[in-house]
Amino acid sequence: MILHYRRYTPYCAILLALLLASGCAMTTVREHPDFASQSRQVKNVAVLPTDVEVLYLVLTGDNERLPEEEQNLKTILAGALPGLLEQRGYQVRKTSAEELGQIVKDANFTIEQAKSAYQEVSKQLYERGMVEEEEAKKFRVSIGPIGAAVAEALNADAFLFTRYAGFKKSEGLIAKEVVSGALLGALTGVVVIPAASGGSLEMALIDGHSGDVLWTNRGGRAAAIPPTAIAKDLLAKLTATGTVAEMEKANALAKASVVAENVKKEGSASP
Amino acid sequence: MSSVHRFQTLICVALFSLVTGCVNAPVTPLTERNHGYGQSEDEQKLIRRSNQFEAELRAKGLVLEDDAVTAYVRRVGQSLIPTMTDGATPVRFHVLRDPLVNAFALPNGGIYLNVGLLARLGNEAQLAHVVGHEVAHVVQRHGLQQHQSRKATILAAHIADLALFGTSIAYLPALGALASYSQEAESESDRLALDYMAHAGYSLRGAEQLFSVLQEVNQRESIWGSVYSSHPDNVQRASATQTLLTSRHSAADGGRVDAREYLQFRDRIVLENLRLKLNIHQYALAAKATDQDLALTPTAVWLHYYRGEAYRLMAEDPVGAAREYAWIQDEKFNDDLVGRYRQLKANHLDQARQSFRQALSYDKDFVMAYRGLGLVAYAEGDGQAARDALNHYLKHGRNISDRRFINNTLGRISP
Repeated sequence: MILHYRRYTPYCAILLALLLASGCAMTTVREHPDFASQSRQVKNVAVLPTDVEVLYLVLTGDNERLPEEEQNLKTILAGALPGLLEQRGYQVRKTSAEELGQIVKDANFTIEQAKSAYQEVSKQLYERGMVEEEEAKKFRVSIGPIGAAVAEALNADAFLFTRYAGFKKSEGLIAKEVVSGALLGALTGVVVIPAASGGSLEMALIDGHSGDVLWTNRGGRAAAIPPTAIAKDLLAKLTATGTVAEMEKANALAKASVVAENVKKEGSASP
Repeated sequence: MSSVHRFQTLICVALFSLVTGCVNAPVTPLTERNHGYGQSEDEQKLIRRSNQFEAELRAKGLVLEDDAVTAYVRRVGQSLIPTMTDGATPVRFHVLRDPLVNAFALPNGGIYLNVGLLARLGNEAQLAHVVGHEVAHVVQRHGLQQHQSRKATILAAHIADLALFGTSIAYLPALGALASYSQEAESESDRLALDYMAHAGYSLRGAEQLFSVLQEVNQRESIWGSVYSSHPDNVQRASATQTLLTSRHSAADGGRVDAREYLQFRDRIVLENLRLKLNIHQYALAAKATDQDLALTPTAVWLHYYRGEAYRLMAEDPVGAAREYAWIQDEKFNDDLVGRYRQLKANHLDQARQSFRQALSYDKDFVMAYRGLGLVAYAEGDGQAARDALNHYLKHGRNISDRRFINNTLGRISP
């Protein structure tokens, strides 16, 4: 019987690999259907200052913003984003909030309006959380003329904006959650360990001529590590995922290596 | 109810009463002596947070920098402030570039009136009640009271939550307690606003009119929990105001209304409100607002333009339009709804074209109408008409802020 099964092992391995290759890799990436052609027109990208909000959650509910933590995160993201874009062949224009105010009167308000417009289309983009890679390339949404106005003010072909929202819990709140979790665990047998901090990161690349959302991705994480570590981790994850084309290429390579590995294993096992 | 549940409920009630009773401290209004404003740690924290919040609003360009508008609101506001004692915070008035129907007061004395609310009002007496209401929040230090109450109820809820084995059921009564507390503060502010109005010489009928206006506001046009949003609350507020007018203010009909001056002021913010609404995809609400204003000023070309834009965008963005409909009507958003808006595309484009043409019939040199007509033609696939109208707009328009967008659209038209 064992020998009988072993005869089919290579076929099973190949079948599994083919299933994986044709299978439905899920993603949080969203891309415009014309992403490939439109992004070729993009030579330079303006990186807008990241919106960061980190809350310190306390037992009394009297939660506070953490300005130092927020500033650290802004610095980390401002330092990392240009390099990530340059790796993809874009020229980067970094802009500070002060500089924006000096470039064009009312530039900050224009940017706020662009962000509001993005928030609206974001509901459309993320109606469903994860979608198949093939689906991810079908999101034709635009923030309209306001997007072009921002890019024109910044003299860029496109702009990237990022938003980070995080929290850090006080020891009192964690202790309370541990106690209530333990009480609940005693009753149900399921113990939930509370996370000390967490956050979510969203990034969007907007075309500076049409206002079309070219690419966007978002992700979140809760863990017992500092907010800066969570932000770095999320940034690495979101940018490593990259574009759908990059994902497809990486998946194809991974799947090809799985097939090759299985065939190799079977070859060495065969008499 | 089982004995275990009864025991848990008793624990919750006992803890809730104990904790809320311990934390709350009396708060003296700023019109009385020895109010000690800004001395407690809690209030210092609130002031610091308010200052940070205001700095952010300013940095984001959300505070309207229009001297005439600010001066007008300031003049009305200053006339309503009661005499305050030493050490009280100065009250400041600002207009916020936000299309939601709302106004708010910060514990540091900053009062913000949204363009979305100002665009709804019809005279200065109505504005006086809104401003007086917000001034009362500052004077009575409702921010501090609410902060203390919130701390107490949340702390109690956390403890009760433990007693309920972490199932969080105790948060429900805590939320209810917060909401009823807020209503007391709101009622007090309504009552004091009438006193301030009477003292400043405004017609108190403005308050009654204000509640009629607010009852017309769709709940979705405001912020959940805001006194400017909830219909049943406004019916109750109107009734309470009516009682006060009968019992305390017998000369309610006298005093100033100042409708003409208010409408001149309002003209400066109406278009800003429409622009902001369209930016957040409130197409139907923008169209409705233009219809209301066009009933007053039928030849206002900019109103015709924004009406046209509202319909053009409904046609261009059926998903956004369907989402707005579902949001306003509290209906489920789904593909069928989007399909209905897709079917209405030709009709919406036609409505848009009519509005742009109407604007041109009143002013043949109004170039924005050419922009609108060009984009309608583009949406209909009429390349030649789109090119002619958009080129006319680019050639004759002044200070064009969307030249790049229009050029991009022209580039998409096949030769």
